Amino acid sequence: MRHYIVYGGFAPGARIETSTADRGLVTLLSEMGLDALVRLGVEVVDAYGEWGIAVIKATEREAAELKRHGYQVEEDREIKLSGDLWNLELIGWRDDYPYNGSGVTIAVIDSGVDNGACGLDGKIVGNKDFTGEGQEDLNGHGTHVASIAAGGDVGVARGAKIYNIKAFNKHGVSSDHVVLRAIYHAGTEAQIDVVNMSFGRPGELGDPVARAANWLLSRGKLPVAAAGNSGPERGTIESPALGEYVIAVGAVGPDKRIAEYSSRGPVDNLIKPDLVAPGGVRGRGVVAARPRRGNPLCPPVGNCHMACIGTSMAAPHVSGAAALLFQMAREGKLRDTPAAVAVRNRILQTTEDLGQPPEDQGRGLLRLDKALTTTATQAIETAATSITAIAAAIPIMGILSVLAKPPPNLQRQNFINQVAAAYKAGLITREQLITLYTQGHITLDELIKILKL
Amino acid sequence: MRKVYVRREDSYVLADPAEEGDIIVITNDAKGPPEIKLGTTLIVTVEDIKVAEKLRDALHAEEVIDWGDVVTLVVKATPDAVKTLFTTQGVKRVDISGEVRLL
Repeated sequence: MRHYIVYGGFAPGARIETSTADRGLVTLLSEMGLDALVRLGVEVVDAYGEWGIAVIKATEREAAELKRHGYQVEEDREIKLSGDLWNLELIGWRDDYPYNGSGVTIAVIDSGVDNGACGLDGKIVGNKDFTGEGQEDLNGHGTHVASIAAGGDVGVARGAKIYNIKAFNKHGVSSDHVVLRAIYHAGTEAQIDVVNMSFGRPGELGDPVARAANWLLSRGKLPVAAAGNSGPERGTIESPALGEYVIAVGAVGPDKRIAEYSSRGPVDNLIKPDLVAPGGVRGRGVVAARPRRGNPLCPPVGNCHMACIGTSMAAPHVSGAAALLFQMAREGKLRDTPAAVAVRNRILQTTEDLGQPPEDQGRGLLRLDKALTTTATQAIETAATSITAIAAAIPIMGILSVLAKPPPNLQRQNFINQVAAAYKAGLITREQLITLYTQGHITLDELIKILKL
Repeated sequence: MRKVYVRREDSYVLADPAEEGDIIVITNDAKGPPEIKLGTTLIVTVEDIKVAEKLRDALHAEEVIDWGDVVTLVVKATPDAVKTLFTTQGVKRVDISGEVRLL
């Protein structure tokens, strides 16, 4: 007898609430279109109406019989790096890097984190609840996000710690003013280095939440946010991801294609999303931990994981990568200061160009391998070789340091021409140009010439 | 041009300055939403901590957060609060605390 996961007869978009239904298993399976399980007398271990999935204990013969009924039957299995953890392979993650995020803390502003979920035992170094429900994760989202960022078994930064800031209730809902309290708490906790925000709502530059998220960088914390799941329409980046200094993360599937649901830029003159990371697509979600209690939010995988999709899942890949880079910065291996700015620049300078418009891919796909192995000068030189990539070479916070010491393979005039082209293309704002002049990095003549273009 | 909020049932709505009735004239150039439903939670942005302290006491603010360059107050939308917020110098912006969702 083996465990199998059975799909079938489920109408996409239909929602059958498992927990609220006042009915027996037979009725539930019938509503799910899985009534053959009853007819064949198969042992049903669990049934999840929300996902049209049943977990059964059956013989190989029974599994084959179910397939003949048109059901999809998959044997329950251990999670393997190859295949199941496609997300880590896609960003160049390896377990033999000298950095694992040790000594770094990632705040997860979410629905709470189950400290006993797989890979999260002993990870939580702080808890703060703003919902009144208690620090427990009654939704599942926060546990999954924390697991992607720092889970000891499937996460990006397996040595990093998690600070659980619960601002979302069991339904995954919060309010702007509660989120502001949560962000402020993250900004004032000394031990926090990275702040993951896998939430959002329509907003604008300068709205209170985007502004608060920006403020985190001034406190030395790196703000990372999910871009939104409102794509493929343009101009759908949500707040706080649309904040200038917040790293907005869009989503790709296993084939590196931009996920249709991933929100698109632009946001004024900014490149948004800033980059993309694995968020998964239907049938190929990102596998990470699920809470020990309650129905899983997404299709279950194995005993303690589930596979979810969304830019919520993409963002913690960047938060985890940031944790590794913070560790690197503390060892004096990153050039810029403060560390949060250096980490931000390195992440944005070492992406893989997927050949998609900036409104879709930002600067490209997160590449942890490049971020950890590229020298600072190489990163700038690589990114500054084309006009369209100039913005990758000059993230907003790094613009002064880059122009103060232009890439060695470019003549100054050539570099100024590229800056001018970037300005004309809307990749650098007028205010940034003026700042360059007032700081003495470009001359008045050069400023006037660029502004007249 | 003069801007006003006019009372319509349980809301204040940004309206034509020529409208009559229960009107609040915006005298501080604060940016506000098109409609403020009474009883909702407002997020108020001010630049001066002294203004924030004055508003905190006058409007019984639920929360005051000092971000360094600006101060945020969380207040309930009452007719008195709406009037105070749009007639007190130093108030820069008033937003309604909306719903935020996990993505």
